[in-house]
Amino acid sequence: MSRNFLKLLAAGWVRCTLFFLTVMFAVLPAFAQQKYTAKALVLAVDKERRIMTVSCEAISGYMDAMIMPIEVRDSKELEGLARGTMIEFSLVADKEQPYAENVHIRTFDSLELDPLSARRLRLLDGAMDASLSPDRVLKVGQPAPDFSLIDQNRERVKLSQFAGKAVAITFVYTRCPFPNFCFRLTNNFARLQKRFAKEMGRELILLTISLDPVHDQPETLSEYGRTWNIEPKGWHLLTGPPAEVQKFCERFGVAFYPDEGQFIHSLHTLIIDQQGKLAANLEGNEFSADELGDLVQSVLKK
Amino acid sequence: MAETRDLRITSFVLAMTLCGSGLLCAILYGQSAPPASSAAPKQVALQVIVVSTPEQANQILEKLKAGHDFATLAKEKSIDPTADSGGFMGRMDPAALRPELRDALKGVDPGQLSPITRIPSGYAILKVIPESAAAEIENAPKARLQAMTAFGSVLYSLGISGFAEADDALVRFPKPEGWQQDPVVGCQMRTQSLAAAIERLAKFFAPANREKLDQQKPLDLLQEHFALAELYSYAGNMDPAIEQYQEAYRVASEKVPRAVAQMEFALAVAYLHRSEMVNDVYHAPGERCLFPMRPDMAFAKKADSQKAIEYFSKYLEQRPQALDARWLLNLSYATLGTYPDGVPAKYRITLSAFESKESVSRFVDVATSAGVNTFSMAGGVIVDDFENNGRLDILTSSMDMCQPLRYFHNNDDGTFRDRAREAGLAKQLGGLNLIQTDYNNDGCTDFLVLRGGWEFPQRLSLLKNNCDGTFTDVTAASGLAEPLVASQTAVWADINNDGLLDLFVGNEGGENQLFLNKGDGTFENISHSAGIDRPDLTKGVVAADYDNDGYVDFYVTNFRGENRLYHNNHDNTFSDVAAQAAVLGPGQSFAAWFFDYDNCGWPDLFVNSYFPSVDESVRTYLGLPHNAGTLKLYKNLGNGTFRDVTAETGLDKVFMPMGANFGDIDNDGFLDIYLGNGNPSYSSVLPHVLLRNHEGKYFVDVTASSGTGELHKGHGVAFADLQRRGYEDIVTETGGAVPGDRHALRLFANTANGNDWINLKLVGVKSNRAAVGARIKVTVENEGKTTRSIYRTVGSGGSFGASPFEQHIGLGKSARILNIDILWPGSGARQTFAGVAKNQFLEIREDSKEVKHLERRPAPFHLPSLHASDPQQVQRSESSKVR
Repeated sequence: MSRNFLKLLAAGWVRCTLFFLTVMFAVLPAFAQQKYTAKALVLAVDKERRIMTVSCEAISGYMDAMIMPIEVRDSKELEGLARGTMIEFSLVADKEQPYAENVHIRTFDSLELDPLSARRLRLLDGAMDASLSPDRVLKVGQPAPDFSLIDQNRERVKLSQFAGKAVAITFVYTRCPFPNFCFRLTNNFARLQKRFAKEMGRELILLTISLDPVHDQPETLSEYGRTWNIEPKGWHLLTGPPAEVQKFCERFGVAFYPDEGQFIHSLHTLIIDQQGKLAANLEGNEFSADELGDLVQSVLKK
Repeated sequence: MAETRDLRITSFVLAMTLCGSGLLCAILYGQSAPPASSAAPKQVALQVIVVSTPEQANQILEKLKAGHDFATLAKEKSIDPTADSGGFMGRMDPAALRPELRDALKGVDPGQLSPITRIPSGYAILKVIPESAAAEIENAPKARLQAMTAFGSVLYSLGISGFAEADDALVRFPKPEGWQQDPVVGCQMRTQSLAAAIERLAKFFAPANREKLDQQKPLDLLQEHFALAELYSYAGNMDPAIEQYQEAYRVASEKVPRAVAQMEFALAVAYLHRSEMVNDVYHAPGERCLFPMRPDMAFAKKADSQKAIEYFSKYLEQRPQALDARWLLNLSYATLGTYPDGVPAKYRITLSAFESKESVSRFVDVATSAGVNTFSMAGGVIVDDFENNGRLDILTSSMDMCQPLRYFHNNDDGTFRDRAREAGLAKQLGGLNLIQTDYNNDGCTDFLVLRGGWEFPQRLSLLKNNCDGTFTDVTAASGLAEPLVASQTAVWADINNDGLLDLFVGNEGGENQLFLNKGDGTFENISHSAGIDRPDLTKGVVAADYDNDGYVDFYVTNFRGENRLYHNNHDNTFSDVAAQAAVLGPGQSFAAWFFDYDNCGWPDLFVNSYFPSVDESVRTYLGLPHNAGTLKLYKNLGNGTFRDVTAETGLDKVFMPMGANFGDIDNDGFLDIYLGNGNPSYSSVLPHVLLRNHEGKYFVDVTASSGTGELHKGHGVAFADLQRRGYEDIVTETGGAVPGDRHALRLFANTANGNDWINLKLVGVKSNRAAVGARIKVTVENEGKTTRSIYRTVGSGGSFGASPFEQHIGLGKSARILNIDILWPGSGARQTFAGVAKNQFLEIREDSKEVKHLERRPAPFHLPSLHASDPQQVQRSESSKVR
């Protein structure tokens, strides 16, 4: 039995059938109006012109992954979208003018144990202390608070010192054992560092904030940095007083909880624009490094 | 999207993939098959490309087959962190890889490519590099291989116990300044925060809040019910907990279909837990829940076990290969007495994997008849003579912030009486671990309480024995109260040979600490100058002079990161030589100890590996490839380095050990191992493990035949001759991390065996009075033929559970003691005693030329009538004996 077939079995018959349908459509000769299911990350929204610019994942048999502006027929389709929103939509491959319909927001609803527990504990936090409620976090466009932490070279780093540059921030801890959580977020940054080699330090700053500041002392972070070939001019690995880290995290809904020697934590990647405002807050791990790169690109160009 | 990344689905895919081979399929379906052999690891040089989609992977595979250069393509196309270095992974044992990759590499020869393989980060193609071309791989960034390695694919079960939720509620609850310094206030905060969290979450579901609830995301609504269920579970309040899990299940069924399976698992576990509670197996376990469970031990009330079976079955219909659910389903049937025939064949796990390959005499739990009636959460245990009357008392703690220590005074008639209150210990609440000492050399045994492990900083307590049956808390006066740390491990050792026991405390969420004993009842914190103040997440500290240079060294086990071997530089400073000595540990280390397992005269090192995954343990039993790190046994080579002898001694196994210790169950002179297993989740129900040391060559699992396979959470373990008959019994503090998982302690009484023994109590004069660190060598002749030496070091054994300082030493069959040699710590003095009679208790003083015989009257336990199935009856019949 082919391995792919077994995977389909695993995914369940319903999904399986849908997948077969999609594949069938994809391989049939294109009709006048072919529809594809597309997943994308929103880079810009223009409600007046009814256009969104997205970094779209590859559509099998139709197109490679790419950045593209795409029209919607009804501007209501764009409601609730902002830079960094992950969406799913139907791409109508109209011969004249492709357009998007049935746009809906993909929230990060992972059922993997770690994100699942983190979300549950965030809801509990909200019940214990209303200021920690998940719906009270900073929104896109609001100014980000400052912090004062130290990096892998024991240099003091403030967010405000990067005014005029785009800053991408993620939150990990060096002892995180799951390859698809912290490891993936750091790998995303390693790929940003490569893609934006010219901009690093001058126009783009990467910050990795440790959720385990007690253990992740500068020496530990420095070692972690070596593993990832970090270019220290543009990429700082940060630690500091736990209260300072906690305070900054809370404003963005970044939650972390000690759990038997590990941390249950939510996954966030933030982009702060040149004006120090929150440009995007990506939750989860269900976007590619390329999509994140496109998002950074869109902020750099602004 | 999320679904395909669900770990469990991944495991299912893996299992289905494995089923390509008939043999593995047979194992997965529970049919008997030979266990996987542990062949010598073979390193291969590997290169990898990972891309995001199967289409890209196919394109790359075609290019590779057409002769394109692997490294170039990796640099251009790979999304793996190894891309920059051309995809080079270095030389590695395929066994260290994720199971998918391990499988994909089967039959791939040097120079060849693996098939395209799905891993969490994408689609991987591996190449086995021929040795001739492997020059470039030496600098491969090992730490960047996490997505490729086995550790990254350990399956952790859904946690059901409310441990994380209750701790979060406590962290968020407003608390008075300094609450962590006072255990009484700590208890209040715990109680109030739990009540507040339950009240506030319950308010969510009040009718007045209906409208807001309706607008909520279904997954959040589900999670709120789940959170409330967890908080009820924490307290063991299973009726409302199950109601809330049911509500979460209802929301899942109606609106979040992909969460249905997880809710079924949660419900099944909750019902199984309630089944055990309503049948009182936590309070009065008797022979029930000793693995393997016997049909005549079936639970009287069956409804909840039937519900558990219903939900595990539903879950398994969707995920038939989930080993944790299959294991628990089998256990659920066992509680009904219908294992194995009642279990559907496709889910049945046969017992052959658990059978003892060697038989030992069966231990009998006498905790109830002996009056050692704890009912407690995870905690520590010390067995020692606190009253200098030659009888061993039992001291236990519980991490329950509201539970006082228990001090079981030995009545000298096979029973004990709790005199914690008279001893002044009633306000000593909480404590995950305990260890004894005689820090002031007054000949009366003092002890240290360690608190906060796995959770948050709480104070230590040093309890001074007043030599009159009472204790005084001298923590603050002795200088140990600050700084506040979370810890569960400490060891006493004389680091500078001044005859005073110093203290190493292993911490979590803070730096490790070394306190120098100044001899006036106070300690000086020399952590920094000693060079041991690293912020490791330390779970075990043990001491031994591993290189026999006359100065004691420390081994520190860490739950994350590498372990430390702190070599004593003879000037109150230490150097970490773990890497040179090759004892870096199994990855997630926990309890550990030095012992001379093969009686070669050098302390060897045993380290537990704690991967809280039921899946991994069941894999070990079924002989399936495991992903987690195994136990580790390092043999001391006598040259400052160790050799990993884990596989050759049969210890390459994954259990879930927390409390653990060693002793000699059969007086053969070789030290055996007992492991208490589990994790905070109610789903981690796994037998404790007794491993018999076969003449210093290998270890054999004798759990089943020994009757020590307690299924509930095992913590502090001690080996001690409590009956004064020359055989070591096993005490294991039992109970989980939450109040709903409290359990009675197990006191497993050993039965007689034909081997000889000697019991030595050492009294230091120049050396520390408790003689901690003194080395004992007993040379015996067995059966008039063979001569051998048996080596022991005075101490309490492992890092989680404290055996008495007196050394009980098995001598084997028909032994004649030729010599007893003592090497004293501190003074370095040596003594030799010849012609000592066996099978007796002796005292050896550092300044005496004679051994002193100690009168010890045997006080056997009252064995409960065997196979009594009604625990109530057992209790009734024994209560008359106790008082």
